[in-house]
Amino acid sequence: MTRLFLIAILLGSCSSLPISYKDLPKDIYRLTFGYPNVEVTQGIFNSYPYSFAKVGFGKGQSVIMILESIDDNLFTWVGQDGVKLITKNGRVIKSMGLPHDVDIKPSIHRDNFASGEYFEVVNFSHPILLNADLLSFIEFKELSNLIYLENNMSVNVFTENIAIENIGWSNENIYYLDSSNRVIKTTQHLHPFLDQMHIEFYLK
Amino acid sequence: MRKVFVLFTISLLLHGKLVAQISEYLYPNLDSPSFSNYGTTGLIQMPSARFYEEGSIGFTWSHLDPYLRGSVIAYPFNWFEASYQYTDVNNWLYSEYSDFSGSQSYKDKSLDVKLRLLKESRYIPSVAVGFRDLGGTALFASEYLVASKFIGNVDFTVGMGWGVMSNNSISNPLSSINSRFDSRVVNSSTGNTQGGEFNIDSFFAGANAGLFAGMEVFVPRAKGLRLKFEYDANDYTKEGYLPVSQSSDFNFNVTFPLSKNFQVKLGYIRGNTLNFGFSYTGRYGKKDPYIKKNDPPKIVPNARVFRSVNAKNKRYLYLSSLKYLRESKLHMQSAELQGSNYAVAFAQNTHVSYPRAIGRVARILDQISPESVKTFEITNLNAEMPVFTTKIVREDFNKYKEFGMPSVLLETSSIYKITPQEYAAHEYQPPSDLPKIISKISPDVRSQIGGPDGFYFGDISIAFHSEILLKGNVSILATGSAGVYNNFDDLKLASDSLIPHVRTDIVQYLKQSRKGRITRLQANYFITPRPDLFMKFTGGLIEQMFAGVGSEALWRPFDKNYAVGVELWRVQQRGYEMLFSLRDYKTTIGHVNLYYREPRSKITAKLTGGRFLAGDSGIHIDLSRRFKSGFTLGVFAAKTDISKTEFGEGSFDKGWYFHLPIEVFFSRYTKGNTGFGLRPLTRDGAAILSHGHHLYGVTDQSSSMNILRDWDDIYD
Repeated sequence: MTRLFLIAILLGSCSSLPISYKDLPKDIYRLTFGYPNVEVTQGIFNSYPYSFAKVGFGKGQSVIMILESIDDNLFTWVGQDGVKLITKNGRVIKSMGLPHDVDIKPSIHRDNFASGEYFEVVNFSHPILLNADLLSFIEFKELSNLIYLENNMSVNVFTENIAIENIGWSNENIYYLDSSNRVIKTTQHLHPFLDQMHIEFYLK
Repeated sequence: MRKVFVLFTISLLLHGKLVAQISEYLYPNLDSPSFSNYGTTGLIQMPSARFYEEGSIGFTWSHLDPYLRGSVIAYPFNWFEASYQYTDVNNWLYSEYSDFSGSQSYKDKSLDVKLRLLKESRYIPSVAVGFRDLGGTALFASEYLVASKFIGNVDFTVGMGWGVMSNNSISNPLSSINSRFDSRVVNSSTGNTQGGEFNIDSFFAGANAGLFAGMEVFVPRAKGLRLKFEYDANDYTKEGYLPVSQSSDFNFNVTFPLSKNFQVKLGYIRGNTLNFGFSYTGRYGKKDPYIKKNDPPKIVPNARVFRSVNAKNKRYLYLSSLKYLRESKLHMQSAELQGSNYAVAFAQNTHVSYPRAIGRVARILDQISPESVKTFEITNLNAEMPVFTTKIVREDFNKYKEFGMPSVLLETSSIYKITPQEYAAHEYQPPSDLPKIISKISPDVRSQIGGPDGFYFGDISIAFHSEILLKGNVSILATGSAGVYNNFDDLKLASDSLIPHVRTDIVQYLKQSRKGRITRLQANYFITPRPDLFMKFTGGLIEQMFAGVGSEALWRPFDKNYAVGVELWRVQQRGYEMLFSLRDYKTTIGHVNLYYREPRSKITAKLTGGRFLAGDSGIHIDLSRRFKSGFTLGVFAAKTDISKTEFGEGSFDKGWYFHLPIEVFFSRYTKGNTGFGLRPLTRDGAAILSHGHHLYGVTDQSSSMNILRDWDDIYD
């Protein structure tokens, strides 16, 4: 009788594990090695009625952000959790709703991905840093290939070395441009306290 | 001229602000103080007047020959630091009897506290007073007054110490106030103690006091790297059991934060010894401290259709409410649509925050209820006891949701209690799905730390927790464990207690139950005779060492911050194998429990008076503070009518604990806690029966303070 009772308890335990412990190994794996990259297929692309971007930070899970509007070549993307990104030629120039936001005033001399050195102004939040000088140096890196919507695509790769000297912060952003010079994929550093951001753009 | 002056002043002020802003980028983690080798925030060997924010808990480990030291540091307030240390004293044996403790080195337990007296401002440093190793053997006992001030990127610290910290001597300035301070005598040296008592008479006493100073330099553009330099006031001839050689009064250290919470350090101490250490600090005080939740409220598909259909027949409304609430793990127990008021009673076991559960019920009801419904009356149940009801105006709920203003919604909502009869009279009672089994599996670790047999003994097992709900208010609580690994073979210390061995046979319990055990098999019956009065009747294997029967009653007025409870138990000691056998020892125990929650400090005090398991009588006090995340820090102490000799080493029962909701680590909401507690010594005096489903916890929702505490979660 005792054994039967214990077995009943044990079987009951196995049948309804709480989500927290059941998912623990998976959660630990994800925290350590990151979330698996879910490739956007043609089917997924077709299922969205709007243009969208796949956006993620570091090893974190990617989210889909929908293109809300285009105004004067400024693309506004919105996420389900209220985060907004404004991009210009694939470069994030403003964010809203992130733990640390950025607001870049791009150089008027900046001509898309023309190689050169540009002096810009940037504001950060959390903590606030106003009117910091941002030095951006763009150059063509190489011609390469990547898989985009299940197709092998030839892309031009540009690098952007950014630096804010007075806080000792510098990093490298990478842009992948298709044959019509549209950024389809990029990795960028928005803020010293944020992980590297990776974005794939899917425009309709 | 005046304009120029004003502009100049403004520019100066703005410049100061900008410098402050830039500094947070130049010196990341400036707000993360580092720890000394003694396990408190500080320089290298010396303390500082720095504190972590309240709701933080830290763990440090350092190696500085001849000592290895591990510490747990808690911050119940911004101005209070308490740390508990184990120090492995490598130049001294645990005892001179090798058949008792082998070749094990001495392990010292110590408690340090630090209180902030002044908060740092532009011109005023942070000032703190601290006590190192303030009880027991006092091997490292010191007191100090310390001040820390940031100037640019350097945090300067100066201080004065007493006791071990009295090198670099000046005569004790307090001696001129009172001759009590002239000489320093600690309890351990008089032999008139069982340890575990504070050496109050020795505080700030001694012929000399020591001066110390140092600085922590935050290196710019170096990812938070710090360099520390200090002038050490420790007198290493007074510390520990054997003098330690010292070639220099100056110490150096490099501390590097690998992340905001994890720091490693390397130092050169006393002019002759390398030192290594690391620390981790978790900040759990605030809501969702680490992982943002990705568990949004459920959207009902085709809600407009539901609203239209549900307007025709209220049975459809009840059924759709049942379905969509259940999909959100909110279990509807009854419902009644009366005019424009829709009353729903529900139970849930997912959300730690009761307002969040209410908000989620309201969201679903709002999506599917016909337009004619103007108010929702939502009753939260626990074990069929209606713990509280919230009446929400539908229009307000939506209006303030849009603006994210839960506090305004609170103004237009009412929170009150209803009787069990009121909810039982609801028109719709869904068919019961009882009996059912709610269960979970979790790892279970049992530890025995700091004994003479060895520093650490432990086992890991898989624990199966089940609650069999026979009726809403009748349940069987069961926990069984299957052992996976243990190192109990060398654990052999027998109890030396002079009073009934109600706890000190722990070694026998650990060893004989290592393969598998039933920790608890407890039947419960709950009733609510009056709205504020709760009762529980319990029988079975109540805890790991006792079985029996008993009852608990709790009077907990909904709108008050106090509660009163009584308990009466007839118990018998369980066999060491922790299955169904019983030992001869039987006793009857009873307590009166007084609970009081101080609203400003948010400290909950529980005072228990009565007869304890070993037949001793006295009081037990437990003080705890719960933070927004659910993280709880607590301490307890007890004193009964047995003598210090009868109690044995430690003199009286005491310890500390913390609980942390496991949802802190996940992106989904889930109930359940993890935690750790420690009493320096396991003794038999003041032992309390550890029964499951203590009424104060079960009725946690039956307090308006707890509802209001989390009200801003209602739109989560």
